[in-house]
Amino acid sequence: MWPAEEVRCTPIRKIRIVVDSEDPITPALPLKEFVKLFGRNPEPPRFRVISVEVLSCPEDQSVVLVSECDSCPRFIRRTGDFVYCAPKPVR
Amino acid sequence: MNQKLIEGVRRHFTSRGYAEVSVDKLGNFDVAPTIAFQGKDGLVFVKFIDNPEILVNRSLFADAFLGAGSLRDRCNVLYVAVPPSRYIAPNIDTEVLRKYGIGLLQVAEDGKVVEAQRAVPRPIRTAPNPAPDVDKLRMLDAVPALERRIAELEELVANLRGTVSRLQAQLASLSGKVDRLASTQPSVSEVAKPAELEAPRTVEAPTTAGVPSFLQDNPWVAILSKRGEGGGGVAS
Repeated sequence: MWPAEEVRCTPIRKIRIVVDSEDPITPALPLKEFVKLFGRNPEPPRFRVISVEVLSCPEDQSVVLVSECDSCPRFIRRTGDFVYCAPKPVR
Repeated sequence: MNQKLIEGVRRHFTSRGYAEVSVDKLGNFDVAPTIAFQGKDGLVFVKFIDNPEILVNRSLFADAFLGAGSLRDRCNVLYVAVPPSRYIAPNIDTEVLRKYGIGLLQVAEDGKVVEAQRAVPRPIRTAPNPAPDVDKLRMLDAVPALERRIAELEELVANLRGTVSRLQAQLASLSGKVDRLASTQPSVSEVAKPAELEAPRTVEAPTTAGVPSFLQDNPWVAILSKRGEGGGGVAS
C-alpha cells in the first residue's frame, strides 16, 4: 500500500542548449539565445542541439539531472514534467 | 535477470494474496511476461525492463515498451518493473503508463518493491491468437464458387421439375386415351384370324429330264402311262 505521507512534487526544467562540436571553448548557449544572438539556427555538423532535463533537488536544493534521481532512495516516479519523491527513503 | 529482483516481486504479490502462475501455461506470447500472478484483480503480468541500453537506443526503447504494451489485453493487471541504478525510472513518464492503465514497480537491489504507479485492472479483451486454420481459409476461399455452382444446380432442378410435370400430364392424357380406346374396340382375342389360304395344288408335270428326245412331248407317253389304271388299253 502507498504510505500516507507527504509527497514532494518538483518541476523538471528542460533546457535545449547548443554545443559547438568543433570549438570546445565556445560556451554552451540556450537555443533561443543562440538564435537571438546569431540570427540563424545552429546547423550541423558543427553545432548540435541537446536537451537537458534538470531539477532542483528538494533535499539540498542542488541542480541535478532527472536521471540522477534514480540513485536517490526517496525517488518515487516521474509524471509528465514533475518528479515525485518522498521525504523519507522508500527503497 | 537478477533472481533477487524477481524474488522481490514474487514476495510483493504473494504477500498480498496473489498466487504465482506459470507463464508457460498461459499460451504463446510474442513477448512473454517475466512473471505472472492470479489474485483478486485477476491475472497479473509483470514485465521487467532492465536493459540500460534502451536509454541510448530508440529502437530498443520502443521495443521494450511496445513489447510490454502488447501484454495489456492479455491480462487484467499489467506492471512494468524497473531495477534501480539503470536510470530508467526517471526517464519513464508514468503519465503515459497511467493512460494505458499500466503500473510501474521499482525494485531495489535487496528486492524491496515500490509501487510507483498503480495499475488499473481491466478485463481481458482478447484470447490468445490461435494459429490460422489453413484448411478453413481454403474452404472459405472456395465458398463463392460453390455458391455459384449451387445456384446453377437449383436452376437446373427447377427446369427438371417443370419437365417432369409436363411429362406426367402427357402420360396421364395418353393413359386416358388408351383406356377409352380399349373400351370401344373388341379385344384382340376376339378378332378372327384371317382364313389360311391353301396353297393351290400344282400338278407336277412328268419329269422329262434325261428322257430320250423321242419321248419328249410325245402324247403317247401319257396314254401309255394310264394304261392298266382304268382297264381300257390299247390292243397290242
